[in-house]
Amino acid sequence: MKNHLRDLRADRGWSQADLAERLDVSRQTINAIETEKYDPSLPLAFKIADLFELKIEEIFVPNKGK
Amino acid sequence: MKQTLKGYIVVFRPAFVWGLIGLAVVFASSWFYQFVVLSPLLRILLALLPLIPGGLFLFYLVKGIRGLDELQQRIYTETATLTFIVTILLTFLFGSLQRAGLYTARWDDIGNTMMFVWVCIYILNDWRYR
Repeated sequence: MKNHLRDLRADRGWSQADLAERLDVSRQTINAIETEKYDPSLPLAFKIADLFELKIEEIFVPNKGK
Repeated sequence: MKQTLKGYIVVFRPAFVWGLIGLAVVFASSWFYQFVVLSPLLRILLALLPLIPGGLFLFYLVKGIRGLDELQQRIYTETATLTFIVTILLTFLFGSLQRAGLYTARWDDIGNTMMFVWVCIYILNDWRYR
């Protein structure tokens, strides 16, 4: 699944570690989501959406054909 | 705290300590069997004794894993699943070798192999999400 997490994080001037701290996950998790190696669970996706004050679908974009 | 190495150490310290105690109990019971004459009842109790630290090791290991974040839990789950499958295959292999008269596996061959496979698969899985 594609996402805009890296851009959103960069807009706020946060490092991966900063975002990880805010979401209470590991930096590895943030990196894996940003590089699209890992799709977050629904609760984490909601947490991310809450943090950025956006809707989930404004952050995560499903791959076409999947 | 769980995002750092220090966090990992804190989360898994009880499991590590009970694992070490379990190993110490196994070695101590082996020593007793070799050098001390024990009654049959004591031999049975001594044989079962490592189950206590072993059970606590597993309890704290699972508790530690449940305290990790979702990606780490996924890595551990994938690692456990793959290790289980590989261990079954290796058990069949040891059985086949024994039937063929080529190699007789010792009781700890499976355990040691399983731990080695666990570490290898964990490193690979962890690397996949880097």
